[in-house]
Amino acid sequence: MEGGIRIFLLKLTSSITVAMGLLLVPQSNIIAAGLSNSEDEQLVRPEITRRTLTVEAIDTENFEVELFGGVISVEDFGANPVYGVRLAYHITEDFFAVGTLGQTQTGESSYERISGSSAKLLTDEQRKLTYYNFSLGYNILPGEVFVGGKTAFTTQFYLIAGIGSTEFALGDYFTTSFGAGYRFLGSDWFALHVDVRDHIFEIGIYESSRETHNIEFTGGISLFF
Amino acid sequence: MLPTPYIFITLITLLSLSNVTAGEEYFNVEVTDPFLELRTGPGRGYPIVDIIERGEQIRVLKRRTDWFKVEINRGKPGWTSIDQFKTTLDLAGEQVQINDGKQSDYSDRNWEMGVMTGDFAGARIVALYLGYSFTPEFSAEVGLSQVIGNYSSGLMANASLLMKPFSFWGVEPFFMLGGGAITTEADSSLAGDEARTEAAAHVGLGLHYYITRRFMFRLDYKNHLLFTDRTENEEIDEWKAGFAFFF
Repeated sequence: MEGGIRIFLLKLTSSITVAMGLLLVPQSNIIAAGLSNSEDEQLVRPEITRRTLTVEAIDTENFEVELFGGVISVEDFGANPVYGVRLAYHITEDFFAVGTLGQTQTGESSYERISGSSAKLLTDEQRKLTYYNFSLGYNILPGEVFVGGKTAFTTQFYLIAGIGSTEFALGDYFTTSFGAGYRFLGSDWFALHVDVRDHIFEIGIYESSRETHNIEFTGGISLFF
Repeated sequence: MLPTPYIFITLITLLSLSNVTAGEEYFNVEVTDPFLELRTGPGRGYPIVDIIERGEQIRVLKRRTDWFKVEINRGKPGWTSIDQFKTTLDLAGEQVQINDGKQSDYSDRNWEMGVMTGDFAGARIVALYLGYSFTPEFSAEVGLSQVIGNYSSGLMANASLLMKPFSFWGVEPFFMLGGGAITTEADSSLAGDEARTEAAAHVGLGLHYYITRRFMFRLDYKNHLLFTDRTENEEIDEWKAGFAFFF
């Protein structure tokens, strides 16, 4: 008995479905005909999910970090190895701001060398010279160099000036620095540097203060990020 | 004393400000100028080596200052200027919105950073500051200064709130209020005086002056009140001038 009812219901359901299908076909033809009158011939429009990234997605590489080493001549204390780190921010294509931290261990002054080992003016700790400065650089001569017939590298010759402080001997000294440098861009993200700086500060060790010029010559490698 | 750890912290802060790369995904734009000039390097001094015609889609690889490194499917990548880049359309058909460091961006700036020097109670001062403007009228700053005297030196860290009520012809006066701490140490040639740290509060005023591009001149005066252990608190005048840039 139950089986008979189930079969009846099944037949009923399937016939309703077919009937609805027949009714709907002409309707969809009408819809299609209506659409074909408009500009768009397509019944189904492809749904393309385009990934639109905003300008924030552009990788900005305005920072440059550099490790450098070279020689610094500290007036009357000899020329000695110097090393340090620089962090630059490229503000425009012409100007960049740089923070520098450098360190050297100076030698003996001429007075100490003449009077022999007994007359030390400074302890080893005082003989260590550390400096920092904040500078503004100007890319005055941008250019290219050519290696062989097919390869070109971009370069920049820049002028730089800054203010900072030098810790040496008995205290801290306000320091101005001037110089120039050459940046060789091996690729977009790394560069080689050659720099010359003059660090100018007034110092007095058991004497009246006088202005000293301390020339530094360095080479470095930097990364842009 | 050289403020090595403080500079280190400042550097780390700067590092975290740089934008994160977008991996393999690149921003795409459509050229609307008759043609887009491609140079070999990010600057007007570099030669033009290629052009991209109107209607072509380009991938934007990176930005350095106001230059964009772009490429299309054929040919080599090159650098194009912001003046040409900002007329391009993004994939939604909208003109790209890009900050190009003009005077209008000066009044709407968020981050700024500057270096100043001047006088701190007769001693020389070198100061570095980082500021953030919440609105054109209101900003907050943190600063680090070294005071270099003849017989002693000091290190000062402070934070300020700035009110900038108006800006006229690029001149922007401001008032500030803040506090911090100062550590003073005698030079090693003088014995007996140990380093001391004191809390301080300050009020001040000054002005910013827009020079060009992303640069401004800054002049400020601060009156510090040092909370000492002695019977009287100490008042110190500080005058500084310097340059700052915004980004």
